[in-house]
Amino acid sequence: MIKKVMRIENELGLHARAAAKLVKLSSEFESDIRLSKSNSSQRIDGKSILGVLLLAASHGTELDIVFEGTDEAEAAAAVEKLIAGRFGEGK
Amino acid sequence: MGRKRPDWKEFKGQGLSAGMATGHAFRMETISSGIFRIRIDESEVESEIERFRKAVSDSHKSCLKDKARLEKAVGRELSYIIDAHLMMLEDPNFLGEIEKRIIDKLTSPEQAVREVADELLQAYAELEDDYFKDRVSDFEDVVERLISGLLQLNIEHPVKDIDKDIILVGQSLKLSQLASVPFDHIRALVLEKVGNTSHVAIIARSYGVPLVAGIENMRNLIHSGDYLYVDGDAGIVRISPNHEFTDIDADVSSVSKVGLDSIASDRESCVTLDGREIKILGNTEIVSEVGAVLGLGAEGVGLFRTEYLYLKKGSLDISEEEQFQVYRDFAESLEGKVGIIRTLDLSFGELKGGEFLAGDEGAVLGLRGIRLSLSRPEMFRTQVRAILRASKFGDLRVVLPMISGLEEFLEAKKIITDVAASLAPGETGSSPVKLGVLLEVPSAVMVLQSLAREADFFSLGTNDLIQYTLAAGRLNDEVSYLYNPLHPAVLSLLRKVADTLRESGKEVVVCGEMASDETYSKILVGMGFQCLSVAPLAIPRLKESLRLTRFEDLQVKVKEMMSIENPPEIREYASRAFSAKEN
Repeated sequence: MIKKVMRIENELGLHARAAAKLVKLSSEFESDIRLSKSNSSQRIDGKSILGVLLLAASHGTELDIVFEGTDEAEAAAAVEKLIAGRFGEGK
Repeated sequence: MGRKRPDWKEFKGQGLSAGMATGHAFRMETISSGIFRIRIDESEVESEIERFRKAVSDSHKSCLKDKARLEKAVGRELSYIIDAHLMMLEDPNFLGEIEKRIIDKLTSPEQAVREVADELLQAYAELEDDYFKDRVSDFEDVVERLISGLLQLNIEHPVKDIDKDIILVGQSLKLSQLASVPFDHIRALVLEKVGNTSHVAIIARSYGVPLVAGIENMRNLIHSGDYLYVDGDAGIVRISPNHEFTDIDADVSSVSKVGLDSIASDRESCVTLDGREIKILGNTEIVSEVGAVLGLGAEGVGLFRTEYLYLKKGSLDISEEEQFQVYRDFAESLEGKVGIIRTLDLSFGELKGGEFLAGDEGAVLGLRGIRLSLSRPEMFRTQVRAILRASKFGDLRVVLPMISGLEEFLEAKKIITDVAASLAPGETGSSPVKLGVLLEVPSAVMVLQSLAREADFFSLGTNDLIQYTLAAGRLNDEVSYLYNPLHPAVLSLLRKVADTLRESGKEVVVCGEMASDETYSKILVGMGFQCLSVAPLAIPRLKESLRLTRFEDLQVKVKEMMSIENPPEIREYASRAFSAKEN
């Protein structure tokens, strides 16, 4: 199991397009990927668009993300890259 | 009626269609595109899961098509919105939870989608961030698409699996949805939101199906499978959750089939104590029921509606031959008595699934009735030709709905005359078909004298006349309190109709709801109307009540009532002077 804390840096936050990218990426891995806001116990399935949108993670939100499964290292690296790269949105 | 068992729960609503029935509740839900049921049977789980998966994949495909279209229209930049929709349709948690409910709780796929979606929507509604809150609309889109998809796969009969007699329980039914309800299997209707003059109520009455409406919070009270006793006269529904109704079953079995066949036939004419004959006709739209309607004592069919033909098909395009068959069967079943056929009385919106084109008014103040017919002369000619040909087989007459003035009537009359001239001599009856005006628009009443010179006879549609006169929609909960048959303006219009047509010697058939009401019918008779056309089941009671009256007394009372100006006092006078006991 890998646990990471990541900050949403892009201006629009985890809005529909960014959420879609995250879900698409997460779904490529076998591992379970669970997200929660740092101050909340509610855990969201990273492969569920409805869940990810429900996180309502705006700019600056800190997320705890847990990866668990055979390809957890690859999954963690890929997700980290996506978020750090501001979902390819530039801002 | 029967002994009341202690474990019964009794609820009081409004009885909108008379009769009593017992049976198992069948809950259904309605959305814009159709009706669906709430529960499924254990044996259906596999096929229902399959239907659900097919609907998901169909929705996914149609979503992809929309995406391509959107990309073409606005470019790639925005198509991510549809990507989100597509991903919702792939969302493992969402789909998984729905399937779980279908399997574990025997919930219908439509209902399962609705329930899971509602929970999620609730969660979204609680968010503080407006952007994420607004994702609700995207999700609603997906849900609607999915449910429509499910209904598509069941389109023939959304509730077709009804093969035993049930009591249909739900919120409301749209006109278009009624066409897919298998009425032969419905013992009674219990609906939350329908009015006394709604189409559902009117049709329920003409089918003789008891209807109780307006029980608050019903969705939480009645569940599929509950055993119900429905009394459409008293407006009562009793629930026996334990299905222990056996002795009431025996009690009610004789009346539970207050079908059209089981009421004592009363073919004697209806004459008041002082010798005035009142002709009583029946309203129906079902050819196979005409025999029963006559059996109940109708001296003909005063209103044969034709909307059903079109609604069943969901199209205005019905061939002449298809219509001819129906009208001929109707003519032949009349046993030589008169049958008045009303030409199509629909708005375009009602045909297209009840979604009105331009708001509420589209239905009542828009393109409907004769206006729709005149705007589509080919369609109108087809209907007229079919009726004229059928008139060879019985005493048929034609009445035109929504006529607002002389010009409209003359235009329609010309088309009908032309159609008649185009028919070969042997193709139609020996005498020309009588043509009437359905008086329901106040302006037509105001110019009644000129119409009376042109029309052969008149029908009086009180429901619409009242709502147009008072500018108060009878189906609109907020203003329906204004819908008052005893409003002085309404009474004076009715009086004008009776007086004008007596002078011009033209027959008039009153065929709105007023005619079947015990109090109002006496007022109509007192005004001078001599022909009432009512819901078939009301006929025996109506005859009985009018036979106990004296026409001269009613005349005097109506005159006295009409000298009162204040509506509450008018109501009070009417309920006193025309009640069942007072004649």
